[in-house]
Amino acid sequence: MKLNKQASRRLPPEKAASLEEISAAVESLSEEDLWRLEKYARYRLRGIGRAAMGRDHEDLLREAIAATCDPGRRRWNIGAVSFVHHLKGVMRSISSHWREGFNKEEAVLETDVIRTNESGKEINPLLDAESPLPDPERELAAKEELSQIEKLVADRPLAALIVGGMREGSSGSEIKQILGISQTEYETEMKWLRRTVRDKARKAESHV
Amino acid sequence: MSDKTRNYEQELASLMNNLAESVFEMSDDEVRTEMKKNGDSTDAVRGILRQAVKDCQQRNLIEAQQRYEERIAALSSKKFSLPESIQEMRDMLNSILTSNPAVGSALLTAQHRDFSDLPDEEVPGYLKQLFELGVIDDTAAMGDDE
Repeated sequence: MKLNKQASRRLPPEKAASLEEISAAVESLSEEDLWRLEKYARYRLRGIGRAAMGRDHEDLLREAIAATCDPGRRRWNIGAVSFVHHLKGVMRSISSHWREGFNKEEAVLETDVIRTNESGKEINPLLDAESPLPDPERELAAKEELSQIEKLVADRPLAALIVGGMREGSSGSEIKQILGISQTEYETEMKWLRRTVRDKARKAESHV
Repeated sequence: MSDKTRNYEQELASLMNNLAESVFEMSDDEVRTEMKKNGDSTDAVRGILRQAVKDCQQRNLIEAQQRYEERIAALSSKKFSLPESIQEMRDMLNSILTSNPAVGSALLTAQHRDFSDLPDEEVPGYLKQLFELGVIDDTAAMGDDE
């Protein structure tokens, strides 16, 4: 397929935020956004499982800033994306590469590789990338964690169906559509699910 | 779906990634309610981000200092016709900078806002940089000295 090179989304250096602007952006993050970033980092790390190799959510937050400050890695397009959403995207990219065991220097932002073909359709090569073969120990740990979550949701049918959909790789909007549920019903179950999964993690940590 | 065909790592990642995304679908009011309910504080998170930025700034300064030292080391290996005493070198530097103020501001580092504060041991280095940049002519400088 012929790709339109002009449509590359790699950010020109002059549009990237300076260190001073990044520092100011950290100071102006709201309490709510800081909370979202922390939770986001925690869930992404739990999704990596043992492939995290001892790294925690704080490492992911630090690495997102380090990558943003490094002109050769992930620049923040200050005029186009809010800082909180930029950090979220960077954490998603870094955690995906941690999971896949890629060298961090080779990691790229998803937006950097998306191209537009001649008919204007976006092409994302990452969507076609094959998942790595599972490591037996990591696979067993993931199986146990999933099994525990499935037990927790067993008495809550709608939550169990949502978890099933997520496991299969469906997005929130796809799950709502498939199950024919409203946004309110979905959010109620998600709220319960987040709390249940978080409490389970806290109990596990207290036993360590 | 049988166990043999299931990829548990992928399933766990999909589940957790969905939960991660859902956090960004919460309104500010919902977040505040959750924070209040759990007694969550965000001070630590801001501290982590703040420190990470400081680390980057320090790393840049260290790298700039290393580049400067490498440049000075490279210049030291070259031969330049410099005056013998530090005072003569300082006079020469001041004379050049008075007639070329733009050169002076380009050479100043964060450590030395004014050439009058320049430590003696750094004066030869700055003069060598001016030779290297072609701001002063080696023959002319020698002629001046003689």
